[in-house]
Amino acid sequence: MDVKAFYALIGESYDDVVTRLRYEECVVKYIRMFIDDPSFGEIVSGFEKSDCAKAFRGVHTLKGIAGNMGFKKLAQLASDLTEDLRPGSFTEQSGALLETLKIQYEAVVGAARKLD
Amino acid sequence: MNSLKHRILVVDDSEINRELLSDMLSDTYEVDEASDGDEALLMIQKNSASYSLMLLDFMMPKMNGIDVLDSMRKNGWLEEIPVIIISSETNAKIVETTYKYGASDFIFRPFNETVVQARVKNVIALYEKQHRLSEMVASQIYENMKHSNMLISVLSHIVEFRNGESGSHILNINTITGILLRKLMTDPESVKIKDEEINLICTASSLHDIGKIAIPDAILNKPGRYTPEEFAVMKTHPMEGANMLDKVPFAKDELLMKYAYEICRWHHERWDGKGYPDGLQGNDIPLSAQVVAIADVYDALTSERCYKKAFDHDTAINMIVNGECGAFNPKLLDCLKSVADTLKVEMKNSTFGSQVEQEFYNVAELMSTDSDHAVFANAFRKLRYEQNKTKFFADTSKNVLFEYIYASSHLTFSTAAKDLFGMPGNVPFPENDEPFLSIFPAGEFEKLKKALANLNEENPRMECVIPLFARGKLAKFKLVCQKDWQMLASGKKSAYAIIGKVMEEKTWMSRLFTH
Repeated sequence: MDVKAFYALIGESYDDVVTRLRYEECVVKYIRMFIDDPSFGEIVSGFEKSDCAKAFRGVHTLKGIAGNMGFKKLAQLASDLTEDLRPGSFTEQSGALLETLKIQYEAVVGAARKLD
Repeated sequence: MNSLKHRILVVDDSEINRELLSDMLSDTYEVDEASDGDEALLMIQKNSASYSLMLLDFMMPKMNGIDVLDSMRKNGWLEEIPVIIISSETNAKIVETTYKYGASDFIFRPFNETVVQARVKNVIALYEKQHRLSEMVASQIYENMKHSNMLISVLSHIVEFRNGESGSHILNINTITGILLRKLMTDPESVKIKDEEINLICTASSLHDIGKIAIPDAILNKPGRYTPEEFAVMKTHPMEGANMLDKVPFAKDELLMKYAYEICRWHHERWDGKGYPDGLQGNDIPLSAQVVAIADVYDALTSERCYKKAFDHDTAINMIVNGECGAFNPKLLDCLKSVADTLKVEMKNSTFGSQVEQEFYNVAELMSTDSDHAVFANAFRKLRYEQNKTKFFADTSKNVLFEYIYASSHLTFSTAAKDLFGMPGNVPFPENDEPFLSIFPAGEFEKLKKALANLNEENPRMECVIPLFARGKLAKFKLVCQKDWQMLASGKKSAYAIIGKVMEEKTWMSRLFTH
C-alpha cells in the first residue's frame, strides 16, 4: 500500500498534507514514526494512574501531531478529550471519549502498519 | 560555510514534531533539537546563547513553554534569542500568556511549511536588525566614555608627575572614592546618588589637583617644610583648578564638569569650617568634595613622599578617624571605618585592576544591567567572569606572572611575582621606575625590550634565559612571554599587552628532566 492509498483508507486527504508539509518522502517517514509515538500510551497510562495532567499532556500532543499529519478525525477526537480534561480532573464523559479516540487511533495505526 | 548558517533550537518532547520541523528547516539553517525544557536551557548555556531562534512546543512534561520562557528571561537570553511558540493550543488566554512572557510569535498546529519558513525567516531578520542597531549604540557609548576617560587620565597624570607623586595616586583616589560612596548609599538616611553618577564622581576625582599646574615648580616640589608664604601659594591650587574648569568653554551643563568643579574647589575644606579656600562648613561642602578629601588624605598617608614615610593602612585609618589629619563628615568617617577591611584588600590588590580596567568594569557593570543594550550584557558578563578568573588564578597560584598593558603603561605582578621580586602589585610606567629597573643587571632590561619589540603576530611568543635580582640575590630565570594585539577602530592593529611567566631555573630544569 502506498501513502495515497493509506490516506484513502483512513478517509483523509493526502493532498492537504502534502501541500502543507511539501516533502512527500518525509510524510511516509512521519507515518512510520507515528506507530511508535508514545502520546497515546501516555493518555492510557494517565487514565490508569488517575493522573489527569499526564493524560492531558498526552492527548494535547496527540492532537497536535494528528493535526499536522492530516489525521483530521483523530485530531478532532483528541481535541474533544483535551477540552474535557483541561479543567484538571476526569469527568463522567472522559472514559467514553477515550474509547472513541482509541477506535480511531487503532484504525490509523492499523492502516499505517500496512504501508509498504 | 556551515558557520554562516543561523542556528535554530527546536524544543519539543515529541520526536515526530522535532523531525517535522528539522526536515523543513535543515536546508537553510543548522538545527539542534532538545526533548525538554531542561535540555534546551542546558544547550543554550553550552552554546553561549548563540542560537538565532528557538521553536518551542508549549505543552511539555516537567517544564512547559511558559517555564522555559521564564528561565530564559531570568538568564537574559530572551533578549538575544527570539522564541516562536508552536502549539495546537487555540485557547486565547494561553496564547496571550505566551506573548506576555516574551514569545515573539505563535504558530498553530496543523502548520503549513510555507508559513513556518516565512515566520522563522522574518523573526530572525527582525532580531538581527535590532541587535545591529543596539550594538552600534552600545559601542558608541563605550567609545565616547573611553575617550573622555582617557583624556582625563592623561591630564591628571601630567599633573601628578609634576607633583612628583606616584602614578597610582589618581587610581587610588578613584578606588577609595567609589568604595566610600557605595558604602554611603547603603545608609538609608543618606542622599541617593545613582550608580552612573558615582562613576562620574570617581572620574571627576582624577582632576582634584589640576590647580597645581599653576603653582611654581620651586614651591611645588620643594623638599622639606613650606614657609607661611609658600604655603599661602600652595593653598591657591583648589581655586586655580576651579577657575580653569570654569573657563572651559564647553560642556558647562555636564554633570562630570559640575562634580569636577566641586571637587577641585572644595577638596581642602574641613567639616568644622576651618579649611580653604572658602571655609565652608558641614554639608555646605558638596558630598563629592567631602569624599575626595578623605580619599586624598588616606592615600597621602599610606604613600611614601619625599618628606615622609608611608603609614600602614590601620595607622592611616586611625589617624583620620581620630581627627589628626583634618575634620570630616562623621557619617563618612563611619563609612571609612566599616569599609576599612575592604579598602585594605582593594588597595593592596591593585594588581590586575589598572585604571583602564577599572573604567572598563564600571562601563561593563552599567552595560550588563542596562536592558537597552542587552546584546552586550552577556558578552560583558562573560568577560567579567574571565577577568575574575584570571585574577583568582594570579592571586592564588604560585606562578610568577606579569602583565603589561600598553594603553595605561601599567605593569602588574601576580602575588608570587610580588613576593619574588619584592615589588608592589602595580607598577605604573615601569620604564621609569627605579625599583623595578633595579631587578635587572646592567643592560638586561634594554636587551629584553629589544626582544619584545621584535615580536610580531606570526611570532608573538618568546622564551629566554635572563639573570634577575630576586630576594636580594642574582639568579638565572627562564622567561616566557607573549605579546597581544588588538584591532583599532581604524582597522590598524596595535600592541595591546604583554603577558608572561618567570620560572626559577631549578623549577624549569627539574621539569625538563621529568618530561
